[in-house]
Amino acid sequence: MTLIRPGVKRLLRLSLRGRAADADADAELRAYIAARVDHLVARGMSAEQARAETERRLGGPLTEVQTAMRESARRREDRIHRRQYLVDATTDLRYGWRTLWRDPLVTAFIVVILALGIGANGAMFGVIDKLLLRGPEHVREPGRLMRLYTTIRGRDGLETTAIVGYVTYSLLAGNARSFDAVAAYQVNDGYIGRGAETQPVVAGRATASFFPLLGVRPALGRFFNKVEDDPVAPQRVAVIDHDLWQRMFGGEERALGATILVREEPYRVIGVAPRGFTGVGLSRVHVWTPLSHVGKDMGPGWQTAWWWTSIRVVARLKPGVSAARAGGEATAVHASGYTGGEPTLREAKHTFAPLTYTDEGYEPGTIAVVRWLMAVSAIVLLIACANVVNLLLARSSRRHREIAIRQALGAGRGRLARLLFAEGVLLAATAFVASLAVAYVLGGLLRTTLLTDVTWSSPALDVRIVTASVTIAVVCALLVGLLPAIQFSRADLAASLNAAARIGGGGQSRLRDSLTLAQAALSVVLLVGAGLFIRSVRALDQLPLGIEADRVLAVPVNPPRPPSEPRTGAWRGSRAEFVARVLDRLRRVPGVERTTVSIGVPFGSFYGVALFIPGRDTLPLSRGNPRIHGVGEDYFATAGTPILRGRAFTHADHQGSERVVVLSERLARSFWPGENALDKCIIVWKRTEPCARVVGIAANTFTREVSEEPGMQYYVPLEQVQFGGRPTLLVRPVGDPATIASSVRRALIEADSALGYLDIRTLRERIDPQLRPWQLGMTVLTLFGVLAGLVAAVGLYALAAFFVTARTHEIGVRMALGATSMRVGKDVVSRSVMMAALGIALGSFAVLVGGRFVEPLLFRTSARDPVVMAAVGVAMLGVAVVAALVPALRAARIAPATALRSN
Amino acid sequence: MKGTLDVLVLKALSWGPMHGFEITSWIEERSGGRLEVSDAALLQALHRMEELDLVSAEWGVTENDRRARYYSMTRKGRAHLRVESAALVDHVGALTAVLEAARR
Repeated sequence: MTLIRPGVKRLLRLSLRGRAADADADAELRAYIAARVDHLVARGMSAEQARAETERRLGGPLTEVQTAMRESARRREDRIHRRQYLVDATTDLRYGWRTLWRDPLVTAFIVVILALGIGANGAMFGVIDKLLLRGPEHVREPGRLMRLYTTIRGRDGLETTAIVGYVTYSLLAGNARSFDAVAAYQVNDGYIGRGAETQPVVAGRATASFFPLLGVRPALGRFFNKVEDDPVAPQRVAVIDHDLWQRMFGGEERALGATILVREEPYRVIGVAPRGFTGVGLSRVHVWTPLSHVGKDMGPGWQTAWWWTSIRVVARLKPGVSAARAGGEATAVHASGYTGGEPTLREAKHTFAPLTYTDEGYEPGTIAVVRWLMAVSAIVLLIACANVVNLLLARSSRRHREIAIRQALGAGRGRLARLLFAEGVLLAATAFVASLAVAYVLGGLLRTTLLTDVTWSSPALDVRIVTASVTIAVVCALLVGLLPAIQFSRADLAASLNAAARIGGGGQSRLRDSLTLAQAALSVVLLVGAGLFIRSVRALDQLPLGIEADRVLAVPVNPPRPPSEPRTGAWRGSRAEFVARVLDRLRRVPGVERTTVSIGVPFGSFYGVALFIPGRDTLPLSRGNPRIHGVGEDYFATAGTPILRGRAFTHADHQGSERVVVLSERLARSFWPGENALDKCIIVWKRTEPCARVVGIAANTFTREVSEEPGMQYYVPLEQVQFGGRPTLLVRPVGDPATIASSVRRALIEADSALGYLDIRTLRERIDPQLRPWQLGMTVLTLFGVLAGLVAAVGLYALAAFFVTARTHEIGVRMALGATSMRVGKDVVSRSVMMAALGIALGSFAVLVGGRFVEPLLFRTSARDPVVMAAVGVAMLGVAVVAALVPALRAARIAPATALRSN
Repeated sequence: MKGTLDVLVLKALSWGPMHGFEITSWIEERSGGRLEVSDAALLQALHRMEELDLVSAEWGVTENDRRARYYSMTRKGRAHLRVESAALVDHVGALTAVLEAARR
């Protein structure tokens, strides 16, 4: 009876599949029936009676019972199969863990590489998610939100801008059918509070439709309504952001009804925006007020004027409406509603583009760079995975004998492959945990150093990033686990047992070689990319700016304006007096060398005024009007713009004297090619104005961006300027500008307490944000490039080391036949160098083919820059030599006798 | 009654491993022939109980030199028996009524 000891064999019983389960059930039924018949016969029944009784007791027709039993048996076997699988998986994992521990150094290296790879991808995903995928915080269905762009055929081709007039907004809001809602807004620098408590803020103005359109709900109170945003009589109500609410009112309800000063005007707080709300942009807006308040700057009729453009329009497209269709309808609405007299404006074309685009309708440089970096980080991860596969393969080769024995003892190939797969899963899982730390640190670094103009409301590690990391880790686990497993299930058992000494079959080493080659090639691509960005940043550093950006503080000011004085007009009256008074005070600040005023400064010149030359219909200008700078005395010396020929302005160039102008070198050359531009006549603003004599040629500088062609500016004495605009004070200290900023601030407040918040920064600080995309590209690509290079180095080392181990016997024979140590070592190194050279060739080919896609991201650098290519090539060859040195030494030290005996 | 059958089977197996017919005979003998279990029901119950890891099974050879599938009780089955038989004893009155009704 006790043939089976209970519980002992249970774990070992293998589950039966399909037919086998049926056969088992049938056999059991047959045995049962036989046992009953035996029993009844033993009790004295005739065979016939026994069969009848058996049939009765069966509980149904035999075929039905048989079917039912087969079913229950199959169900049972399925369950047992699953249970067994779990037990096996646990065993595999436990065994895998032990194997990994046996080689702690290799294991640690693999985990670190994978963690860096997964973490970098997680961090990059966090950036992409914020910049591209998720949309602004609290915005419902951001995919259907689009910004309006208008394109007109200007004198120099098509000009696209997101800045439109209120009349465009009201036309669309009133007539277009493609939208659920339309809203208008603007976002400007401003300040709140008064006197010593003044603080700079970003102030938004929006139509009442703005908040419902975004689908955002207030954290407290309400947003403003149509009545409060009446174009004729707007009310002074404000919505503050969550942080401001916390800071000013401690997050209490008393904020509602409180009065705050925005640009020195009192507003009643009626609501608080939810935490992290940034409108349709990605950077913080502290306070929102009704858009219609812009009217008081503009005078009556602003809401119907076609000349006034200062706002942006967003629309929520109806579901299923394409951007092209919406644009077509908006264009039609505009054409039929346009009442102005400009033919170019009447024919303006409206288009819609995602919120992430710039005002000029392009995808911003940062996003383009980030897209590339995401691709690059994915490549780095692939390299890392390839390398890990390589290492695992190399190790499994060393285990060939062990595994062959296991196979001989009856372990199936599938089972062994699963064992290797379990190792891959364990490695990826461990790396995943470590990668979270990498993602957190790297993400934080990117946020604080390179993507500073984005307001990050979620932590550097949020649910979405972790989810993405899990996905990436699973892909890694599949790659790292499956490749060696597949390779293994093909391995030849008998061959392994026979040739245990000469490990590594042909197929396996081919795979290993090609993986190493791919690593080397990809590293070359990444290093070239890093090199190109480094060149770009260097080109930016060496770019002649035409100003001494580090030496000059710039302070935009708003001269107080009496209500009687018109906003636009000549540089006269109280504005001139105000600036004269302030400059006079500034000159007396100790440490100030020079100071001046200018309307329009380099990298901040907005004022394009038409130019004419007597006797010519058009001027040879490639794009747009050149920008005018109305400058005070001593401007050129203060800004550090060299006068190349002629002279700078002097105090003799005043309102009543002869009109004079200083041209940039580029303008002078394009207006009078091959001639001396000095003393020529040029007319500023209108043809009816008097001649201005060119008295000087100044070095080229920039109007807005470093990526533009420099030199599109000219200068006139401020007193001779016929337009108003926001003046900027320029201060040039004797020493370091940073040390003098606070005394400049004190002096200015002293000179006029009504100045409000003062934004005192060097010109360099104003340019720096423009350089971030290149810096971002350089930093991350260098990081990735070095990482990839290291991984490739290890790959080459592993390959060379494996080569030596696998050929110990052969090398021994060769040395016995007279080969020198030197010769043997050289062979190992040259093999590694060959591999690297192939990788360089392959990588260079990829760069030559794919380079033109990266070129737009670079700054005055060719994607085929020979210096970068050569440097990377040399570095890679160097890496190959170094990586092969240790294995080569080992090969050279092989003693022939030992090697031959070891088999 | 399914639950009852499981308890009876486990009770039988608490005496040691048995094959299907031995279990039937054991129940019949102990109940003085009053409890008669349908063979199909018993065999399927055994499959289900094996699926639930209450019993385990292995092919063996009987005293008559025939092959038979021997069942033995698992640790989980022993716990199940303890709990369920107590519950059954609690409801012995109702059980008796049911068993009476099942009798021919």
